[in-house]
Formats: sequence, C-alpha cells, structure tokens
Amino acid sequence: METKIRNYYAIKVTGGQETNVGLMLEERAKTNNINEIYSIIVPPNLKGYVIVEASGPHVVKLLISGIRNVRGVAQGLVPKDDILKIVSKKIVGPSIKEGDLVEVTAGPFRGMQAQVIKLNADKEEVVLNILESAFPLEVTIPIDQVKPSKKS
Amino acid sequence: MAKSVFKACKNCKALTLQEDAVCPVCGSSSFTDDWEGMIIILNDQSEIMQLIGAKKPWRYAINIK
Repeated sequence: METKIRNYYAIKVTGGQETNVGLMLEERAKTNNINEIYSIIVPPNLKGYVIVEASGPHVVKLLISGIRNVRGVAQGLVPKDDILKIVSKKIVGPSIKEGDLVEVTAGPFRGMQAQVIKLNADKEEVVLNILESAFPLEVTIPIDQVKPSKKS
Repeated sequence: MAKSVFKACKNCKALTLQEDAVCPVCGSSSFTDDWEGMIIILNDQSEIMQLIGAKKPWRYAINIK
C-alpha cells in the first residue's frame, strides 16, 4: 500500500478565481489520473488561495503547471489545525449560551452590548436584546457577528 | 459567477448542478443557493473526507445558510 503522508499546500491564485481554479484543478487531476491529490479546498473568507491535500510538492507542481490564474505554490505547508478551522466552522458556536452578554461586531448595532435571548444553532443565528437601547429591542443576527463580551 | 452553477444539498452539503432534482449523494431534494467554500474530494483515502464525514468523493460546500 501507499504511505500515509498527507500534506496541505497553499496555491496562490488570482483573487476572485478561487472556485474556477479549484474546478480546473479537479478536471486535471481526474483526466491525468493524478492519484496523489486527495482533495482540493476552496476556503471561504480566504481570498487568493486554494489548498490542496497531496502527498508531496512534486505532485502539486505537476497539477498546477500551465493552469490559468495560478501564481504558484506558497512556501511551506499549511498546518492541519488551520485546515480544521477552515473546514469546521461550528467550533465557535458553543462558546455562546442563552443569557450571555455579548458584543455585536458588525451591522448597524456594531459595538453595542447585548444579551442573548435565544440561540438558533441550525440557522447559526442569535436573537439578542440590545441593552444600550432606550426601549426593549430584539434583533436576530448571524452568530458570527457577535463575540462574548468580557466579564467584569 | 460560479455560484449560480451549483446548488448545495441542505442535508449533506453536496454541491450539484442546478438542473438536478435530487441530491446524487443522499437522495434529498432540498437545496440552497446560499453556500460558501468548496471541498473537492478526489480520492476516498482523503483525510478531509473523514473530517467532514463525507461518504464518497464529491464536491461539498463548507458552509450552507
């Protein structure tokens, strides 16, 4: 059997073309039967890079040579912890509970303190009560737009 | 835009073409166009495939709304 080496290489691509490059790399790996490419990751919120899971740098060079919008391989490897963070976004979810004080980080209520009334984990939304408002104000915002405020 | 080419299965996050009626991976028929990030599994020995719990090599979305 083959050895169990899994390395993650970051490929520099033209900004905005990440998905297209990912699909082109997939086509090339399939048509040329490059078996040492295990997966291709197009991360959200990471502009200009596509990550390839491969056994070694020579395979990645073979995969990307001559493909449009590819600017080369970034130096070094991507640590597996970073891949875990990209692939499973849900880690941030359980840190917020109902009743917690949070700070809104985006949108019209940015910078305001709020209390979590309801947590909707499926839709990744929270219902908040804005504490700095003069009257009771409930808003529903995505969970990634709040962060736990420091406890005094 | 590439996003309009694919839709994501709400059940297993598999990306499929807009004209497909059922998900080719799990057979579900609920889809969403609001997805981001893509994982293309090419080989069933992939480490990522085990991490995301995918059943077969396919294109998957990372986040769906």
